[in-house]
Amino acid sequence: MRRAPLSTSRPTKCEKGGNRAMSPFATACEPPAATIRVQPASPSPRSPQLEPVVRFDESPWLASVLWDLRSLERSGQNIPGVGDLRVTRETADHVRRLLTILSGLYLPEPILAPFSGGGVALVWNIGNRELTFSAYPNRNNFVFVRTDDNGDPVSDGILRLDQNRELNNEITAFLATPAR
Amino acid sequence: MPLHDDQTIAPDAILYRVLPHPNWVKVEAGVTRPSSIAFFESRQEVSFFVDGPGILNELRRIFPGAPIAKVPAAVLREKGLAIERRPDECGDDFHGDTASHVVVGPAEQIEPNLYEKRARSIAKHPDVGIVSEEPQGQ
Repeated sequence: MRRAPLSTSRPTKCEKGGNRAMSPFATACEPPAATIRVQPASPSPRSPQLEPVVRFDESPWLASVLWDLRSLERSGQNIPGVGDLRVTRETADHVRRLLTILSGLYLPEPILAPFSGGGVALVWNIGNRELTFSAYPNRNNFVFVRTDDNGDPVSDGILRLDQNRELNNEITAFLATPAR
Repeated sequence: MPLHDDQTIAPDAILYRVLPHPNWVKVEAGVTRPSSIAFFESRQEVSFFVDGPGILNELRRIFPGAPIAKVPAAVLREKGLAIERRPDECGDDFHGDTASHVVVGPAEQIEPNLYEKRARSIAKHPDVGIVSEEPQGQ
């Protein structure tokens, strides 16, 4: 990916009266690192607004999938003879909301794929078991299909993001080890 | 709009679906197959090309390196899908017989989860596969 060129100019003197911590060049004006006293952070209660933050260790794949989704949104094309693979912002945002909800559930890394007509599918695999959520343009729900170890559908339907119980049931069933 | 099943397309006709996205194929037991997502379509009208003189080579020219799925017409109809010719939708770059371009879908719109189940069963059908990469002598 092409990036905007970085400026090579640097400040010639320290800013006075400004917020040095906010300046990208602040360290140039501070004492050497070895002389800085490190203060242990005191524990402080988290803001309730930050509570539903996704833990990185629960979903290490989240960043890369979000990046792939952004790429789809930017680079999707209408290909005559194949289909319209352009993904609208609304559809992508819908998928992001689902990812945010599911990323806290210790699922494996999903496959992200556009499909014809501006849709996006998320596919999780465990062995031959598969769980697919599909987002369609102009729909505020998801189509899901869950298969067994033979790849045969065992559950399918349409879910909204506020159907937490049904969503959890499908995830739990998908993650459960099948009876032998 | 309801699709009209064109009976001039014989049951044993082979239809090609170009798979330009890497996640439209999957490898199962060492065999590359189309994934069900390759047959998803939000309007339930999936583009295919009916096999004919020069069609495969033309698709390879336009989509170099892209895998191409082959699906017998009978398999699509067996799943309750109609095949309708759409010569105007194959793109200006296509230099073959434009009448070979078709769309495939249910005669009437169905719920998307039901449609996806049909797409899944097409992808798994034993008569469906990926065309070998050797150039055809057409």
